[in-house]
Amino acid sequence: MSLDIPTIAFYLIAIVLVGSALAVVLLRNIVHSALFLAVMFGAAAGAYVLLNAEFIAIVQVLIYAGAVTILVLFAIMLTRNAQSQSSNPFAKQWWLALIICVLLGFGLVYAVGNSAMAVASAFAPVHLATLGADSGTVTRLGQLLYSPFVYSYVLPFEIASVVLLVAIIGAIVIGRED
Amino acid sequence: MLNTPFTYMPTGADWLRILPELIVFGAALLVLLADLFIPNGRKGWLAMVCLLGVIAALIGVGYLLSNGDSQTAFYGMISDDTLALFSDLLILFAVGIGLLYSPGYIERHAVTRIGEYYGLMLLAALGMMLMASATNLMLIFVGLEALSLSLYILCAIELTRFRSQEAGMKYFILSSFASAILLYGMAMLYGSTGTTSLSGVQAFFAPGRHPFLATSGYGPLLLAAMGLLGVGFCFKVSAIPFQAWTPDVYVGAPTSVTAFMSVGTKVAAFVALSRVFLLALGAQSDKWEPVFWIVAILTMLGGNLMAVVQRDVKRLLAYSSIANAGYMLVAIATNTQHAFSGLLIFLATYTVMNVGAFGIVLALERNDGQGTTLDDFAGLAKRRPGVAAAMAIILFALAGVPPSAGFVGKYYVFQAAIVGNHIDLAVIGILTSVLGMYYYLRVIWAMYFTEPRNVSGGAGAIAATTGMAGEDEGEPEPADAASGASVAPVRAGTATLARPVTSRRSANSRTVVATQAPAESAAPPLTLGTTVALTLAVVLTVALGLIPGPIVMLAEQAARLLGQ
Repeated sequence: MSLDIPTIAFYLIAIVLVGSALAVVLLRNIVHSALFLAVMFGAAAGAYVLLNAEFIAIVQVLIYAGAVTILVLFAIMLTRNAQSQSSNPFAKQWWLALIICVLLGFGLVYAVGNSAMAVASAFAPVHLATLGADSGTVTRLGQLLYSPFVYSYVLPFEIASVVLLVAIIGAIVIGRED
Repeated sequence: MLNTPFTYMPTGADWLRILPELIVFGAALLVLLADLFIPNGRKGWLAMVCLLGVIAALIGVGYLLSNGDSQTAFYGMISDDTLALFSDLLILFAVGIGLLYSPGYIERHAVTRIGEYYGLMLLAALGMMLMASATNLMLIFVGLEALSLSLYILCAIELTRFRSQEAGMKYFILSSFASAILLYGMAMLYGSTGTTSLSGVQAFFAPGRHPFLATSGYGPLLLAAMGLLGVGFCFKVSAIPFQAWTPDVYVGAPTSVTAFMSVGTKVAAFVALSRVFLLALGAQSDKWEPVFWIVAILTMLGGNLMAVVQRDVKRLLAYSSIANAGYMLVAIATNTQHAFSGLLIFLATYTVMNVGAFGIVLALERNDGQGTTLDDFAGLAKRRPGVAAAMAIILFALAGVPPSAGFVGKYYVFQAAIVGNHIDLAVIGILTSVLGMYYYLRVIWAMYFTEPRNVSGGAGAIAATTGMAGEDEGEPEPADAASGASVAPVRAGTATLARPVTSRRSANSRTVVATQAPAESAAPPLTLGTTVALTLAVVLTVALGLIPGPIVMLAEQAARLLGQ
């Protein structure tokens, strides 16, 4: 195993990622959990950078580390009972959840590690070949949205705004006071 | 290549192929806008706007059925093939009936966000239509999210009724978890095939396309993908063991919403499931068929067994919808073109029967959501002969008595199972249908051959109604409502504690008076919309049983997609 800089960076990020994820689940104060969630989002963004997925990394920082964390903290602030010491208690069946999570996690890691993946190597799909493998991810994403080659994601992209419209209406219906 | 400017523009033909969806979306926006200008008390007009939109969309579907080109639009994202149009037809019918029920329901219940209610009904229908027409995993997911988010809100839209809030919360938490699992499965499928397009996935498994994979196999990633996708879809169609949310959500949601969502979600999810498993992953059927075989048996047995012990008709119908999902899964496990057309016929018949059945529940339930137990149905034939007759026809159809729509649906599914070498599934299906007859016919027995029982249960329920009516004026909840016969909102319960004993006693004396009134006084008369919708559902239930020809032809045409 050669210890070049990306490898060292990966292990550092991996330790922070796993550690903060465990902290989110295990800490008893829910505000601490929420703060570690922000750390976890940031570390995940670092992992994306190592995977050459710069756009996803930026979005991860903007939306998850930024907006989602703030949203979670606001939700805690508006609903928390200040007297409660243990605001993030364990469920009664935590051991069952642990078993299922470990099984699922190992199953998925095994599946990903032991399969020929079409995306990575063996047979690059047509659109990647035609677009050129050396183009950056942002360019590639933009082209996939309006790609005239194989298929274009413009319709799901537009319908995502319908989903957002529904979410906004829902927030108003639930939250507005008469 | 990189520097060439793109000239991709959706053509007019692209837009034409999603005409029904466009009309529904336009109507939803129009309703949300019109809500701002229509004063309170005249919100019924919004239902008219919605209905006009639905009728226009139906005309659009009809136009595409006769003049459509069955092509994909927007570069392989969505299709206007007969399968998509067939499911559009069912979804639009379901939402139309749901909209007809709505004004009457809204008037009697605590729905205050009326404009949003109608807008979300249409947006949910839009999501279902997109999901059923999608030919790409991404669009399936976006459509699913649009319909799920709308339904979470619609379930919880009665802001002061505890059951409605509970239903929305339960549905939201469990269903978004299932959506995440489904999305994970889609990512894995993309990982193993390198495409999100269903036809691309299908082509990936075409014999001879990737020769070395045939010898070394596709690896566990594809199995993981199919497993996660299967779990996600099974949750959405409420198959056992992913059914736990169904009864609480169907009972807690506004009945007009339940009538629509119980069929619309099933149509959308089953069509998307068929597109993914039967069509795209058809070459891998030896891996997923056994799983659906087990799930189908579990769902048929469990759904029917749990329905037998129910005393509340609305909850019974929720369990019956689980059992019906089992019959539909028989067609998935059989996995032939013939079985697929059987599934579509079953979906059509199930749609007309189920919206009718929930419509009857809506007509009988009182303002607090009570009044649908078997005791309340006792002697209904004498009190409200029309409603009882409609319920009897629909229940006979649900039980599968020939010649009714339910018989036609079950006939095609089980016959296809026998032809497709799944006699085991057909036998279990027929046996559980016989079990099903017991609980459907028990309701008919209660309506026609028993006397109304005005014992403590009924009195308690009426007392609860009085408590609800008095809630706004700060009146306490009557004491005997706490005997378990009713579920009054929490707020009323806490108000009771603060009340002096004297006023509670006066409420009790009022309860006695209420008990002496005839039981049906609490259940309101039918509105025009409900009458029209019920008539439509009953007529179609009978018509599909007597002349199933047209719908069978359409379903077989839609199922031809599998043969290509």
